[in-house]
Amino acid sequence: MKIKRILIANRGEIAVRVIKTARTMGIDTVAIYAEDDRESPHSRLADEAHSLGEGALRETYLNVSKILEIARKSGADAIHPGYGFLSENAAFCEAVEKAGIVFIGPTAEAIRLMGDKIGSKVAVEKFQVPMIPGYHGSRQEGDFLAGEARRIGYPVLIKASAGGGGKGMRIVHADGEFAEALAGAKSEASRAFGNDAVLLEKYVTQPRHIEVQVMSDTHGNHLHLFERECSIQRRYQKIIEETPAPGLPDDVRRSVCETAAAIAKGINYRGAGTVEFIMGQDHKFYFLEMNTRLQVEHPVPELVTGLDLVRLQILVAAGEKLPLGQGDIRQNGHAIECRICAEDPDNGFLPTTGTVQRIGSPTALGSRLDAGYSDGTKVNVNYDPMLAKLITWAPNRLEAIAKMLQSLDEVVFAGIKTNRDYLRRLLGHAKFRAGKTHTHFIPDHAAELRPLAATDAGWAPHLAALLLSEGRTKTATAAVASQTPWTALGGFRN
Amino acid sequence: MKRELTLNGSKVEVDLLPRDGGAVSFTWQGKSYRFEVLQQEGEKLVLRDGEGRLHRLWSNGQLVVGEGRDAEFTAPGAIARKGAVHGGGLTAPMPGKIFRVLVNAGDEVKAGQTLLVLEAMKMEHAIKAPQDGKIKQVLFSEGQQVTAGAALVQLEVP
Repeated sequence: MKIKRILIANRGEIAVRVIKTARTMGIDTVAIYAEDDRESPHSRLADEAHSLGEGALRETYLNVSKILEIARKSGADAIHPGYGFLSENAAFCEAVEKAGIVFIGPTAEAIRLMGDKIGSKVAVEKFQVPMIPGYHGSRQEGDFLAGEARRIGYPVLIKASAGGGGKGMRIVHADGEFAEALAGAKSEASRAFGNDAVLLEKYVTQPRHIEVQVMSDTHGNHLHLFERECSIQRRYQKIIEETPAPGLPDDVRRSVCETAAAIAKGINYRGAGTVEFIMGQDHKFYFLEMNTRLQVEHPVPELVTGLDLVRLQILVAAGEKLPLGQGDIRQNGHAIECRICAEDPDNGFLPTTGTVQRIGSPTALGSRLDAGYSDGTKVNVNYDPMLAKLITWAPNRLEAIAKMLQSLDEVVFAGIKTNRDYLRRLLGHAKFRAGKTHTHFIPDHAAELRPLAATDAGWAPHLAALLLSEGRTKTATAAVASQTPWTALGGFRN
Repeated sequence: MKRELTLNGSKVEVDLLPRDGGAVSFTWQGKSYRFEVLQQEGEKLVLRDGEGRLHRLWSNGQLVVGEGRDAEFTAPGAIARKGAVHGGGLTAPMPGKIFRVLVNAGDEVKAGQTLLVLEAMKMEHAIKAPQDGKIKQVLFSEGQQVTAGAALVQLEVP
C-alpha cells in the first residue's frame, strides 16, 4: 500500500523531524497539539493541525480515542508515534491497527514483549545473547532476593521490572545494605509504574552504554546500522551520544551489531528499534533491553550511514522491502549528538523557563540542528526540557568534537538558561577527548566539570562585548563622529 | 569609571575608560584591555585585542557567547541564582508536589542537607539548606501542591 497522509502523535522536535521526511516523500502530515502547546513549531509546519484541547497529558498527547478521532476526520492512513508518549504502548498500536490505520512502528506483540524487562530477557536468551548474571524470576520475597544477590556477587543492581529512566533502581555494595535498598526500589517502582516487581543484576564497574540501531522489514530482512556509544549520562538520562563507539575493537563491534540483528530476527521484529547493551572495560557485553521505537539519538547513525531512518520506517510500514542490504551500509566518519536542555547544570540541573529569543543556526558543513522550538516561543514547563539536538559529523572523532564546540557557539538559545556551557565542558574534558567514557563519567569528574571562575582572563572579550552594548545608545553619536576607516567599512557592510 | 557587573552569578569589577573611537578600554584585575570593534552586525560582533587577535562573539547585551564559553550578565544587585534564600525561607524553584519532608521544626541542619524533596517535571528535586541553621517552620506537608516561588521552609541562621 502507499501511505499518503501521516498523523504524528507527538510534539516538539521529533514531530518536526517526521514532518520533514514525510514532505520530501510527498506525504501529507497532520499535526496534533495540546492547547498549552499551540505555539510549538510542530503545530505550524504540518499540512493540517488539530487541537487536542486542554488538560493533563492523558487528555491530550496520551488520549488514544481523541487521537484516533482526529486521524479518522483528517483522513490519515498512518500514524507515527515518535518517541515517548504512546510510542511504546501496545494497546495504542492495537487500537490504531484496529481502526484500519497503519502504525509506523513494531507490532503490538513486539512492544509488549520488549516492554517487560523480565519477559524480554527470557525471550532473547534463546538466541545465544550474552546475559548479565542476575535474577529475572517472579519470586519477590526479600530473603529470597537477598540470597540471589549473594549468589550473583556484589555489587548488585536492583531494577524495577516495568521501569525506565532510572526509577526504582539501586546499586547495592554489601549484604547489609540490601534490605533497605530493596524497600526503596520497590516503593519507587510502585509509585512510578504501579508495579513493584524488581529484578537483580550483577553490577558492572565503569560500564559503557553501547546500543545498536536495527531496522527490519516484513520480508525477513533484519539490518543493523551500527553501534552508538551513549555512556555520557546523568541519572540514566543520556546527554551525549556518538558513533562509532571510541576504542571498540573491530571484532567486538561486529559481534555486538550482529547480536542485535539476531535479536531483531529472532523476535521477527518490524521497523526501527534499538538494542541496548552494557559493556565492561574488558569489552564483554550483555543484553540490557530493547527499545521498540525511534530513539532521540537516531540522527547519529543517520549521519554516518547517510540513511534517513524515518524514511525507512515509512517504507517498512507501507509493506515495502528495505531498499538495501547489510553490505551496503557503511559506518563513514564520526557523528556526535548533544542534547540541549532548558536546565541549569550549575544549580542542581533544575529546569529553567523563559522565552527562546534567538536560537541561531550552525553553519559548519555536516552540522545539524533538530529543534522543537523556534525564535520567540516560550519554554513549556509541562513538557520535556530538551529544546533541541545538535549533531555534527566529521571524518574523525576529534574533528566532530571540534565542530560540535564551534556549533554550540552558534546555537545561542538566547533568553533561556541551557546546559550548553556544561556540554562544552564535557566535550573539552581530556578523558572524554581520549574516549575514556563510561556511565559514571559525570559523577566521577564532577569537580572538573565545574564552571570557569569569573576571574579567568578569558572573559575579557565578553566583558568588552557587554560594556560595548551598554554604551551603545549613549555613545552612538560620538562613535559615528570618530569612526576609523575600518569601522566605517564595517558600517558600510551593514 | 568603576562598573560592577554580575558574570554568571559572580561579581566582577571593571574600571571603564572613556571610549576612544571604535574601541572599548578597561582595566580588570590589574590589567588593561583595549578591544577594537571591527564589525558589529546585529548581535554578531568581531573585536580585535591589543595583540591583534580576533574575537568573534554573539551578544544581546545580556548574554555573550563565544570562544567556547557563555557569559550571562545580570544587573548588579539582582538576586544571585543560588541558594534562593528569601528572608530565611527556602522557596520552590518550580511548580510541583511535595514528595517528602525530611525535617521538622526545631531540627538543627547543616549546609547542603536535604530538607524536602519536590516532585516536578517527572523528576525529584532536593531542596537543600543553603547554610547551617535551625528549622523554624515547615510550611507544607507531603503530597501538597506548591507554586513556583512558594516559601517551603523557614530556616533560622545563626
